[in-house]
Amino acid sequence: MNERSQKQISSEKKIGIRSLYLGLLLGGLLVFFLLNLMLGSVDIPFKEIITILSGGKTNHFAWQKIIINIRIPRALTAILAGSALSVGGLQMQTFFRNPLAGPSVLGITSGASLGVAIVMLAAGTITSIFAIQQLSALGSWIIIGAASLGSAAVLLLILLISLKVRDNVTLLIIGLMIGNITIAMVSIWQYFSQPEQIRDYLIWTFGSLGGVPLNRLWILAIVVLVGGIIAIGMSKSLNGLLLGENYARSMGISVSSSRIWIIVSTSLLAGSVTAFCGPIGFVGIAVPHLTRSLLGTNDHRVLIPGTFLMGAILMLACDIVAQVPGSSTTLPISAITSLVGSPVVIWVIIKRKNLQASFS
Amino acid sequence: MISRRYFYPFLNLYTCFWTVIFSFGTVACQSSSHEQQSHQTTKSISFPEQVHAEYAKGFRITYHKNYKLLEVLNPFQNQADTLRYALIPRDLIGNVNVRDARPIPIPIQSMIATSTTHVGVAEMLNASDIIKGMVGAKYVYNSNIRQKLDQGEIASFPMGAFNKEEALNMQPDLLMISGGQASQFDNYKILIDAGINVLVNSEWLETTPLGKAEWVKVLGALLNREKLANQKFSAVAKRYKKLKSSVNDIQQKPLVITNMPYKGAWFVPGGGSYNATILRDAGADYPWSESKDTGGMRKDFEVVYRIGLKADVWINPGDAKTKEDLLAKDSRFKDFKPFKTGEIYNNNRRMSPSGGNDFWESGVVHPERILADLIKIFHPDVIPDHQFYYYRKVK
Repeated sequence: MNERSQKQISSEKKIGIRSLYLGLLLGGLLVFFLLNLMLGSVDIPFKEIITILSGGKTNHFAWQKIIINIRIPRALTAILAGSALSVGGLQMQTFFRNPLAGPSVLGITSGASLGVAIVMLAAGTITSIFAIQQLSALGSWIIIGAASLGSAAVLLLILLISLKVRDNVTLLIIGLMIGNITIAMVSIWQYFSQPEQIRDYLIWTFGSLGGVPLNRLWILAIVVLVGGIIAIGMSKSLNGLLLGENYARSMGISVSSSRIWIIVSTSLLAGSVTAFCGPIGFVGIAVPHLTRSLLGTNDHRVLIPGTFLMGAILMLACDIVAQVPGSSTTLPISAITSLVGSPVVIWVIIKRKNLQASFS
Repeated sequence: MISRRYFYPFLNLYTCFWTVIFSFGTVACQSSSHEQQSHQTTKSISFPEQVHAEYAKGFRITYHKNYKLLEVLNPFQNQADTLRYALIPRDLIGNVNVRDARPIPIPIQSMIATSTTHVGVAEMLNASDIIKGMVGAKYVYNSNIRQKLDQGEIASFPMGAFNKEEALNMQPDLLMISGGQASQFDNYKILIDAGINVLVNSEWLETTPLGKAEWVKVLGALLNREKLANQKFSAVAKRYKKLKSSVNDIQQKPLVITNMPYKGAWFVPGGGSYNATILRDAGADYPWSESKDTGGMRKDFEVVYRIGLKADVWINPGDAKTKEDLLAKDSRFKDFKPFKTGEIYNNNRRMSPSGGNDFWESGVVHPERILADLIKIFHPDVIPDHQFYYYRKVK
């Protein structure tokens, strides 16, 4: 008890440094946002970009279209997807008190994929789903709903099992197995599909940040915002849960309602991003570790905004790599997040050595 | 007013909502549209040569004062939201408004092609010079296009996710896509919003060879080359029907298997598909002719293996050129009767060095050539003078 109160005191001292770090992250976000707008297949001079952004007149009609219709929506999608997956992952790691937890590891992402697949089945063919997307904003809600329900179903199942199984490692393995079951269900469905449909689904699984038009971006933004607000509201409960359920109860936190809210928040965050961008792996695990290591705290009141910013920056950076600036080729975003993210996490783990210490 | 079918009943509510909003908008705009009409009367264009779909089920072209209306009825397989395009003479664009239709200035002068089938269609109308961008350059057979790609006169777009920035930078009159690329429709949606005219060419969904070839008329309308399109297509149709009737009365039909298995699954064309139709027209006995499927059907290896043992002919065995290629894939193929008799034919006679196959390019608009090849395979006595165009014997 004494040790803990000391920790809390020392954390108060560091508040100044932490707000400095958060400020730096915010600055970093701005820099990467601008970089993301600058780099792409077509070379557009920086001056023109500033002119276009400030609403000035430009003689290059095509450039204006590229910035406004392609690069801005893509950069905003990257920010939303990166921060949503990261905050979702942070909540999962605290919730399960396990450093390996994250939306993709626990099958929440594959649950979302299953949800999308089921809607596609109900609509007849996989092409229909894209047609629904194309038809109206309402269609997007259907997919978001399906993906969120799919991820919520998997999370609820894991939660139910967690009532019986107290051991975190066991629970994590069960989570992995449930993820495998959902993947198997999707693959059975694929087996009975046409080659073109399989190819369509395969392209969806590569992930894409460039497929959300401006007029639908607000849907993603609202869902992520709601999920994020719930997460911020759960900061105190998450702090308590990190020290164990009994400790949380002693702090006057209602554990059962916290669990539900955390599940709702994570499902919304991971489900909506998966629906719009396809399954993007890894960010959810990596970013919370990076943020903890940078900020040196377990206080979720600082961690959540920090993770939010860090996730957005990492995703913008990955997207810049995926665009392969100066070439007409692009790479799938979900491959890049893993390629870039894995070495970073290995480096952090080796450097810190005491990863488990954050969770016990 | 074209009726629109939606998948979800509540989408109709959504449509109603917008209809109400738009009707308010229409009332507000009526005074200005009167002005436009009076302006239009000063210049009126009619279209003496017209094209109409006789065999194709996927499109409809109607001619109106000052514009042509092109409707793509089945842009994507089962989903049925009709796409409407108003083809408006270049100098009238902006003066002619057609409701619910995307205006496209004609004749189009530049186009990005996303499939080699689009090259075949353009070539038939002597319009390959309008192609300014090409997706999947290495699969092109046409030497003229290949040369331009090498020299950089035609921009080469990589396969995979469509590069929207390059397309916007190019500002083509038309981006022609195939309905099958529905997974990328979001990508295209963004381009549509940014002012690029995206035409869905769903010729691949046609179930008859002549229906597929008839899509040349769509490009004909876009190029104001209706006369040429009609000439070329009716020559194709005439020859096709003549060839078909030449094998009509033959009772002795060879049993044929097609394609190649992949990892234990053998995809065969459904009885209602383009491939099954052309096999029937060529006087072959196709085992799955009875099925109603218009796409491919997954069959287990042993299902087709059993038929292969007694089949007379095997056509289109993947990309195989020799019998060794076949055995390298699966040694069980040597049990097939066609393997023993040598009656194996593949459609890869005309290939570019990088792997482009003319069968998938000009073959789309020249089904009569494919039919002649197939008749030569199944009934060599009927057209003894015919030389193989797309097909070759796998030796």
